[in-house]
Amino acid sequence: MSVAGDGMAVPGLLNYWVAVGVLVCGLIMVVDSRNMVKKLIGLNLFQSAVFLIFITMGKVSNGSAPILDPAVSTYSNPLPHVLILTAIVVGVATTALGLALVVRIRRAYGTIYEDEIADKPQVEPEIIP
Amino acid sequence: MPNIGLINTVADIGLLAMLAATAVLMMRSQSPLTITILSGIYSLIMCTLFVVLDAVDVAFTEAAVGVGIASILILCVIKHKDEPNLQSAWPSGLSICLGLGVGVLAVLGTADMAMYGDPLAPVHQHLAPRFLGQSPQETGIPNVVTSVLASYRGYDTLGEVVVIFTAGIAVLLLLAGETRADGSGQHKVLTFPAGHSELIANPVLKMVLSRIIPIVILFALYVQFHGDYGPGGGFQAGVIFGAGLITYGLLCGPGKLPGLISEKGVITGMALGVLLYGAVGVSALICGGDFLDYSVLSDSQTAGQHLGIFLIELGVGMTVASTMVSLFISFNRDWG
Amino acid sequence: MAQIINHLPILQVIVPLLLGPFCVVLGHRGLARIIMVTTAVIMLVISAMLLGGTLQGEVFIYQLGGWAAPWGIEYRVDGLTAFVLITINLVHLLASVFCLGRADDNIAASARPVFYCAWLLCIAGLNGMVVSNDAFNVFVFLEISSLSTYVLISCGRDPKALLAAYRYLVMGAVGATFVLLSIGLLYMQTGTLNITDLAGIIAIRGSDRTVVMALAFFTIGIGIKSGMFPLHDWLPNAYGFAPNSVTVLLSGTATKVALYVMLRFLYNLFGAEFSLIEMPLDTVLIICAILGMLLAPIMALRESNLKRMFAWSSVAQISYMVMGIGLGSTAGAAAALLHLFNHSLVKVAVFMATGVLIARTGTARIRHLGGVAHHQRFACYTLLFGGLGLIGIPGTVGFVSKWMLVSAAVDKGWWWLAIPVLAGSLASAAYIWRIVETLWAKPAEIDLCKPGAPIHIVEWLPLSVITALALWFGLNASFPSELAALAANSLADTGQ
Repeated sequence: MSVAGDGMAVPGLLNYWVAVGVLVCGLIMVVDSRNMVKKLIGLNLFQSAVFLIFITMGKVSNGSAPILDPAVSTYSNPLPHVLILTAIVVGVATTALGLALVVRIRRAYGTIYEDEIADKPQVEPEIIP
Repeated sequence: MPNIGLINTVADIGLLAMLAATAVLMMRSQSPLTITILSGIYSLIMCTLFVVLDAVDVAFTEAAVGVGIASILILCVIKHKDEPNLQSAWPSGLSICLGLGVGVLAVLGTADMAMYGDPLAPVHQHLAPRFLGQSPQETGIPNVVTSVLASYRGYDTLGEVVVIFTAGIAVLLLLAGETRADGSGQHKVLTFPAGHSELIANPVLKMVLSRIIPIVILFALYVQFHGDYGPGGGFQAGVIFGAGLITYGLLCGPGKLPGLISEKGVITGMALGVLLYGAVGVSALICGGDFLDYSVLSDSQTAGQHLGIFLIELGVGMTVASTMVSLFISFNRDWG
Repeated sequence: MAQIINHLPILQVIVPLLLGPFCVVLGHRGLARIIMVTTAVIMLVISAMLLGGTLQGEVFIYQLGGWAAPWGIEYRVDGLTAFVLITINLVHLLASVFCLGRADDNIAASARPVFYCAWLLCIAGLNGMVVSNDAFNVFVFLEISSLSTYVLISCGRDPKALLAAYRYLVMGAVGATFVLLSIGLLYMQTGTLNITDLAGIIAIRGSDRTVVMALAFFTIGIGIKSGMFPLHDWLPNAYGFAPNSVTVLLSGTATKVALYVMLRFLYNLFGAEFSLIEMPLDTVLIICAILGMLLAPIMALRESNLKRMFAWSSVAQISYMVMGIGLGSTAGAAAALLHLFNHSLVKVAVFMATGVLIARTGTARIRHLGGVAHHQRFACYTLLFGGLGLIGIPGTVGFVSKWMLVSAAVDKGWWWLAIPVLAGSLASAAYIWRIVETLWAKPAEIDLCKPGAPIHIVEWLPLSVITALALWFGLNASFPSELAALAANSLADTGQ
């Protein structure tokens, strides 16, 4: 499987495994953090692991960036790049929206820690005059 | 050429190791500031890795987004008073079980994947050969990523612009929040936060910034219009242009800014970008083609494609640049 | 004219997608309202025309950018697509009219254009998910609808709406990323993104472990977005604290579209044979469904907030649809689709009535609503009617689809599924009774602020239309059942 001779196929599936590891780290951060900002950073980590999987699958050994040039004959696959460009932008849009919500939550509850919000006595406007 | 494959492999493995280490550190850290800095470092490593994997356009975007925007926004949100509250550095049992479950499932799934760089992998067989082989004739653009992004899958990119637009108006809505009930409401002139005035009072900084801004704007224009031939395009250009505008705003200092950077101006800029993109699509429809079929916009197919791609990239750039300004100003409002 | 008919699939999506930003440019509340309602009418007309076309056996194919299918993005409208389109666009029109009323007067006038814009983008995203035949494009439109949904929810009156929006954002983003990962794995093994093309290649190549992983991650991701039982955590708060009109819109469209995507991917892309029979996914879905049917009503009984209570009821009702999908037969899919349609009608009526009550009394606490029925007769009677539909009393739409669901299960030899269905219905009778008792019999615990405020035309009009439809389709179910059967058949046809 891994052609050690010219050192090209050595990474094998390593990229995917590391991506899975990062994905797990991100997921743990999302599930576990009580700090809402850290949670969003975990979300970024989780998403970028998926981006790495996409970009790795597009790589062709000895290929070059998919900008056509008469001097080059082998190119990497451009489609995963296009998909991930879109996905990165979607990811940062989500982060920005999430951070704006955190700012508003801090204004309303005075904290960015979820457990402290749960402890706080709720001042709920039950009746709007 | 000395073995490029070997260099590539070594770089790949080294960067992967750094990536994994940074991810674990981020998971374990409790201080918001540390995590933010680590997340910037992580993005930088990721961006280098993308270059190694030949994804130059993606690397450019990751540099602008992950290292730039995301870090700055997080820095705007965290404050010193957010002391880390006591949480054990190691994750809870539940999350470890969940993470391991997903991880084991995913690693099992990798068993049937093609190896790194395998040119015979199914992913390179079906769609990609046409994009690499035909796109110069069909769209007349050497950067295949741009031609696929803007033409073959131009509709996804319209969706992407709408997502940015949504985030932009959402942040304005959420953080402008409590619109001051003084009634006027219209054409509110945004102000940059007063805290920056001392920063700008520094003469060295002021001079350096004023020299840098024209170069930044020039570079943005280059990235915008050279995206057909090299890495870059409307999105990356928009981010850079937005950075230039923000710097200009900082230089003007607190107080009123020129009309362009008012709330109304920013919102209009964001929406006009989307509408320009949509208008290109609708004009194709009116000219008898399908939605976003640029070929019907001009006499020859490639001329039409060129025109269409130029216009939609302009739309992307407008929306992104205005959104950058809106994000920066919204997040920097003084919350006193 | 013929030309316009060819462009209908794209118009369905770009009309709201472009008019949304236009509302913001205008920045005028009144104009934005007019645009919103006009758009909703246009969208309903387009879906009706598409439905008319598909009923004559037509399948609309649209190539975006003029690029042929696997290279470019393709839209595809068949019987199933048209069925879901007509459902969500009908709900959208009624919700848009309802939104003009006073149900959400906490949203500032200056924020209104942005609110309406997010509303239009949300429905544009949902429509885009339905008509797209490209896996990645589904993801992009999923994100458009998700982001705008977070914005809409955060406009709620209570600060808890912000928390609800934040939690939904985190869960929703995780779900969407799982879907993205799944699409990436499928692309890795096939080299294509077009759903029809993917299905063909997977059928020829056979599945491998990577495709199995894609199936698993897809189910988790879309399960989160559809509010499937153990992944429903975001739903009660999101529905409970969103603005009243937004709850109406979401309950009738968002989760329904996610279920449609689940149905489409499981039956057509992966193939029902592989995903539900070869893989044990049918068992997983049925177990989730049974748990949801039994546990969600119990949570609803313990709930003190009226809207959150009905949100739990949505979790329960989604479980019935998941069960229909999990049966893996055409009859099961038809039952799931009919329940999807019927539940949209009933739940929209319920949430509209709830919205009227909450806007009038200023409270969502059930114990504060004692005796309201004597002041707000119309809203309370429609609420009661909707509640009966949720239980599935014979003669209501809920009965028709639950009956179809049980007979589909019996056809498959799984007669014992009738037991949880019946038990779940009895449990929902308990919480509906609790509401009825409070609204009619209990004395008011506190003085209501404005009990007599009359119901406005933009509130009673959509409420009566939806109630009339629910009443009619409950008594005479042949039309929607035929549509659902046709839709399920087109699903089976595409799968082969």
